[in-house]
Amino acid sequence: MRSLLGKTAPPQALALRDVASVAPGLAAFGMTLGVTISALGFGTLPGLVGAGVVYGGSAQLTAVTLVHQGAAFAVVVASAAIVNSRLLLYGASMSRRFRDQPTWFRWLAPHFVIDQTYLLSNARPDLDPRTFRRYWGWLGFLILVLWSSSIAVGIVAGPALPELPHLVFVGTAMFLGMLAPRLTNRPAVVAAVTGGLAAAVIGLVRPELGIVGGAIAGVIAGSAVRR
Amino acid sequence: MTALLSMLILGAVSWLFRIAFITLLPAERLPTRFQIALDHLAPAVLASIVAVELVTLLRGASPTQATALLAAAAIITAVAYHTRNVTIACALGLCTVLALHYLTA
Repeated sequence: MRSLLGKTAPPQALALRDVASVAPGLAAFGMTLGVTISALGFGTLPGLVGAGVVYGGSAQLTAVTLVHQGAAFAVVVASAAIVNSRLLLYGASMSRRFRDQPTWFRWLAPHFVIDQTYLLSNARPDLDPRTFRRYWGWLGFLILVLWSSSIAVGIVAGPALPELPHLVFVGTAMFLGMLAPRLTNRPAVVAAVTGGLAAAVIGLVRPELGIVGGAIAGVIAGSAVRR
Repeated sequence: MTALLSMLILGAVSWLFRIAFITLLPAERLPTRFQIALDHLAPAVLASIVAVELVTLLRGASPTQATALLAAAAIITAVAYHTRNVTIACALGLCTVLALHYLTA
């Protein structure tokens, strides 16, 4: 008998299990962002609206920091948008999963595309279109609730929380936990090593370009090795 | 007002990024070579995120803290590789943060 947590489990159970696996890292990052929003006086309303509308921690953190530094409006939006430009790659990679879905789903559901939803669903390639639709809806909704709640807690409780300057490392650990099991073949290892090195170097010069630059370099290197 | 407006515009731009290759120009219409290359996106982007976050953390850390963070990252990678469990990785990350807070305070 397959357990409730097996592949035949209902989509919502699969989504719940996947969300639970990344919850500590996501909550830590969300709280860190909330504390930053509070400390830099970004405002509770923009902070919470951004949580749902932008739905991307790194981009929102970039915007919060730049607004605090008094950067011009266009600079704030452009810099944060560059950070989120990896969503283009996620969308391209996930296109097949959305191909056989209803029109409304193809227009609205991509809003849930973020690092975690892309990576978690990427590990479940065998879901049929209908099951994927339900899984994706639950996954995006649950992460949105967790993400927004974490930011809200950070904003409200920030001043009372002990100062933990390295709290974001929990999120780093989450991404390491998702990365390590994927290093099963040479192209994947080359893609990861090249991507990481490129991101670190690019990030030292232009932090907002680090992730997307590293991702593109890693994809090219991984492809070159596979040929 | 600037803050709220920036969130709304950024949200709209992010949504366009999200639907660009799903709804507007489905990636299946792009060259096959490009689609195949995206098979390597997950490890590449994960390593990139980790690298950027580590660089940011190390910039503001003392030598002791930096060493501890790098050692913890290596241990977490090894544990995650063998256990394939993200929750354990997160727990180890949290232990590292708390240890750094209480031991180097």
